[in-house]
Amino acid sequence: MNRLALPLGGLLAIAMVAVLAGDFQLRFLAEILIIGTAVMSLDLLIGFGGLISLGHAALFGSAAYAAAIAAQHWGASLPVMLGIGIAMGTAVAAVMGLVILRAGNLFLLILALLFGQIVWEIAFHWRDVTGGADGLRGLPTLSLGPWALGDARSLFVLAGLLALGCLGLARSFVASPLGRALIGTREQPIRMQALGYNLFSLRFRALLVSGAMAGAAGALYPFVNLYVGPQSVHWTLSATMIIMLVIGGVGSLWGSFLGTAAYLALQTYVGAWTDRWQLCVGLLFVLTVLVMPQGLASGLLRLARKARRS
Amino acid sequence: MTALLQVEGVGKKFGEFAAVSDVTLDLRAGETLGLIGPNGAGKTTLFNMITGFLKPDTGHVRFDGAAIDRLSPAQRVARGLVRSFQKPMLFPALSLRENIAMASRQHAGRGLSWLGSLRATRAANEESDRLLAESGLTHRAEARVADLAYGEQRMADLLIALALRPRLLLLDEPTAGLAPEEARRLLAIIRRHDAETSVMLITHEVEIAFAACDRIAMLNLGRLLCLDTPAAVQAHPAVRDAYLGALAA
Ligand SMILES: Nc1ncnc2c1ncn2[C@@H]1O[C@H](COP(=O)(O)OP(=O)(O)OP(=O)(O)O)[C@@H](O)[C@H]1O
Ligand SMILES: [Mg+2]
Repeated sequence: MNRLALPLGGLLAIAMVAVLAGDFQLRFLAEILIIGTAVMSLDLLIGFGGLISLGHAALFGSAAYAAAIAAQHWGASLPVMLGIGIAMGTAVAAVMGLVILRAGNLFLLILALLFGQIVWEIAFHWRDVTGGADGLRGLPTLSLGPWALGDARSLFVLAGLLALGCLGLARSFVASPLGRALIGTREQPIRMQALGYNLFSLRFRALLVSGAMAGAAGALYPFVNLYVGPQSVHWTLSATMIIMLVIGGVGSLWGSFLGTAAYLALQTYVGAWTDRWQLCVGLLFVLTVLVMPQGLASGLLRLARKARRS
Repeated sequence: MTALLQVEGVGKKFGEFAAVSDVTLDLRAGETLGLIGPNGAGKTTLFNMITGFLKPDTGHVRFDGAAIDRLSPAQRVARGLVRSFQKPMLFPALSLRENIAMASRQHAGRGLSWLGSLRATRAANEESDRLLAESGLTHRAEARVADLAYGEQRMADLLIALALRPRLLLLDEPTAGLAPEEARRLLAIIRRHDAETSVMLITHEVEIAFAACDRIAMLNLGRLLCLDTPAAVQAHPAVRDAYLGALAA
């Protein structure tokens, strides 16, 4: 029963929103779900492996570029786009892993940041392919066989299915031997070595899984956003992802979507009023840390439990 | 009898301070070797070098006839060389069963699997349950390790090591801080695995060393003072002076 609750409830919610919401909201929600998926893939590293990477946008963004570039040449067939995004996310994660996983903690964070900056340099300067500072626009419409998926409703449903599928995968990952071992390296790296675990290979695999997931999300991003530019690989997006994750709840997986929603809602709705919306993000961040230090996800769970008891 | 472990002229300096100097000893297959010595004698440092957590400045370590100097700690575990630490080192957020399963999965070669891992997980859990039953901790299987009593944590720490089915188990003061009854139970579990597991045992409690060990090595100031049967060690004058004065008196 509980095993089916998440997928069925999720599908039902996607269907209901798809019927009821307007185009603007659907696009906005699709963006939340896609970026939320990328943030959740970062949660696998930070929340379970204790690996604080400040280069996650490089995985997400390079998959977005790869999909957009491929779409310009060969058209935007959904399975091809997803395949290219996942391959790109995994490949970049592999290279990144060789660079950053030699170090720990602060060095890992800095190395990831530098790695991300290199990817940004490529995106910014390789004008012929990436469009440089202008990025890429005018992409063909996403399609699956005979169906065009360019409208807001289709894109929302796609993003919803992606998020749901990745959430299921992430949960199974965390419960698997590999996921348990990742938690073990966070809590007792030395004991894990004494149990015969190869820490590098373990973390490397987790990074590949995370990269594949971020890559899948990245592949859909240009088609929802109708644009991909160098900001999508910039370190500031990596930092934003960490902020979203902390607001939503590190280690909760589904909290990533809450944190992303809160951040993007402030950006969109407060940003329409004033340029100082980042101040509001800062306030929200401080408030979460003070009032719900485990993030919105566990805060909400606690409220729900309290409500049920009274 | 053939030596399972050979330590040859091993030494380690921290700066100018020689923590371990030129220690040579061997451990025979099937035996339980005690390692005693006062605080700071270099016992843990010697363990660290045998298990690959520290690189010796001098000397070599051979296991089962092969040089293992260049192997990582994890690679030594794969050969059957397993250790525990002076303080229990557990995964506090995980349940007791999961703590042990972390080891048995790795031993089964399924420690890093994901999809299709159900069977590996189940087998590992069965192995953990067997060890828990044997040590009388079945009723605590689901408890978070952080919530266990100290004696139970010590036992859990031993079970994690045993789940790797070691050929040689190096235990660093496994009974420290335990009540006599708890210590006896822990030693009984170790003895039950005698057949497939040789043991090297650091302890401060000389009664335990004399009762549980086939031979005893005594370290002092980083040097090996003697290595002999319990009776001979007890009679050794240097040992009496350095360490056993209180006992002899
Ligand atoms: N990493 C290190 N750096 C510097 N000195 C160290 C280090 N590890 C151990 N020492 C020193 O080496 C000496 C031997 O330490 P070791 O831990 O091996 O002793 P021990 O016999 O295990 O003692 P105890 O019974 O207290 O556990 C001690 O004086 C200790 O302070
Ligand atoms: Mg010690």
